Amino acid sequence: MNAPSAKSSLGGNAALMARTLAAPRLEAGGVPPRVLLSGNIGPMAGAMLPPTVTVVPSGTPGTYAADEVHLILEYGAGEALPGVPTAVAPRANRLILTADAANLNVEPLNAILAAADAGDVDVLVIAGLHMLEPLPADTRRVMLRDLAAALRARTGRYTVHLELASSAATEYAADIAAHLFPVIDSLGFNEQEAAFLFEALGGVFDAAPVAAPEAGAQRTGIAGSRAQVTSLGAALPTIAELLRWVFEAAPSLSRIHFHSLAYHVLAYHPAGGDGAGSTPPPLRWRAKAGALAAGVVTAATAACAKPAADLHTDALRLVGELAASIGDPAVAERQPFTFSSKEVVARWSWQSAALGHNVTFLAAPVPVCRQPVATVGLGDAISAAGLAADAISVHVGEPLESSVEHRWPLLKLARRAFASLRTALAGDKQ
Amino acid sequence: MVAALAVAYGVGLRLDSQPSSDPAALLRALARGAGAPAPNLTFALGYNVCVDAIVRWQEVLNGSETGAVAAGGLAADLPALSTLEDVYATFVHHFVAACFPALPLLP
Repeated sequence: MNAPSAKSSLGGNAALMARTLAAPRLEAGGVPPRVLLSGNIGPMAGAMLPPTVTVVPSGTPGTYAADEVHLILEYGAGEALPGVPTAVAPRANRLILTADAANLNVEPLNAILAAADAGDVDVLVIAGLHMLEPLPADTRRVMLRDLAAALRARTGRYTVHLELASSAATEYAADIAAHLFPVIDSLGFNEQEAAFLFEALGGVFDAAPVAAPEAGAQRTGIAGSRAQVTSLGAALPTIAELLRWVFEAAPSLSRIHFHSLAYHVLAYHPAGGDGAGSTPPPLRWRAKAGALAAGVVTAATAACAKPAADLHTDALRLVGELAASIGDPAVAERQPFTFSSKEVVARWSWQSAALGHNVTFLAAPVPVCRQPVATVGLGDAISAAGLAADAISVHVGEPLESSVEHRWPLLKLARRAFASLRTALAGDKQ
Repeated sequence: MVAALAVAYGVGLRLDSQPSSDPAALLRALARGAGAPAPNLTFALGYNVCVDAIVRWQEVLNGSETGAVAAGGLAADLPALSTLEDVYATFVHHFVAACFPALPLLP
């Protein structure tokens, strides 16, 4: 390509998430997880993968002799189209043009599922299903059905995260939800994908508030507007309303990671309970502010290509309001909350009679890079960083925390003390 | 000397405890609280992998063409792109609307 600014880099949501997961993060320290990746990996992409990523082969060796290339047209915030001063880009962003053949083949998903079942995998991440959108609807549906059947029949205990990406076919988004949401645990998406998914599932913006639908009943919509989710001036209560609605539409989900330019939100629901009034089942996530913070820090540092310590006031700005209301719009009382360096993460719960348990939210404002070096792959990096800090090992016997223990940490101490005492007594008896 | 140190410590603590709304202060607070992965985690991922060719839009699309599309009200949110006109219409739509889709080019 004869373009002075042209540069090539690793692409594809699964590959970008793998790269983030495999990299030691200077901000948080710690040891990076072990990472397995299966995909249609061509020679250039293969050379760009970190050596710490273990490639799980799929299909016939040599099938992917060529790389799939995505053309990414980047533009900066405030740029205007020539001759039309009013046609201004409100934010730095990009348009991605694809013409994939290899990524229409989901064989690597079968390979990675087999590897996850065979090994000590803690989290399976599925990304890239939007690449199937050009296929006929019936073909896509068969692929989703087969994938759902494979996940339902899995022998490993691992949790499953699905990273959504931009889609233009509401029917396909609804198919993904119908087939896969019942067999996955976690979902990641940005504000555009959130609004698209909500509408694809039949949700209605600007709906009359419903205070407390019956157990198992689905709200028709949310009181907030589409702009309150997708615009730069997004509103936290509306985002939370939408996330609770998604949980009510897909009660098997236990975690949603929402990431937009203004705010990041992690929402949890103790999936798998047996209805209202019962003790909430254990969360399969740490559900700590640190997971949310890891994602926000990754957004700023990846966009600016600098560590947090080197980013100062002149390099950053805030898009969302620091003064927020975190109350349920269907309930009269609203709780004012002001984000600051002392309270940078808000945490609250909303009741959901439809789910039988509370939905817990963690939210933080995002310090946005004024002059981003990169816009490509930020969402994948954010989701991967959040997952890395949120995941619980399902193999080392780390106890799962219940949502009750999140609200009452003393209960956790008491449980641990009781477990130690019981172990000691059992040892005495032997 | 000890009293002076105590006063300085107290003043420092006091200053440090002031909440700040500065974005850099928020980022530092978040970085301090960012969680590290639990030990011995294993992630498995699939499936899309590619090479991104990243370029400034002006080096691929003609500036005056984009201006003409915007001025003529021809911007459109198309799900798939079959012609060069489709590419211009969709680019201008997303440029102004701040969206960021990945769109398939049809043969």
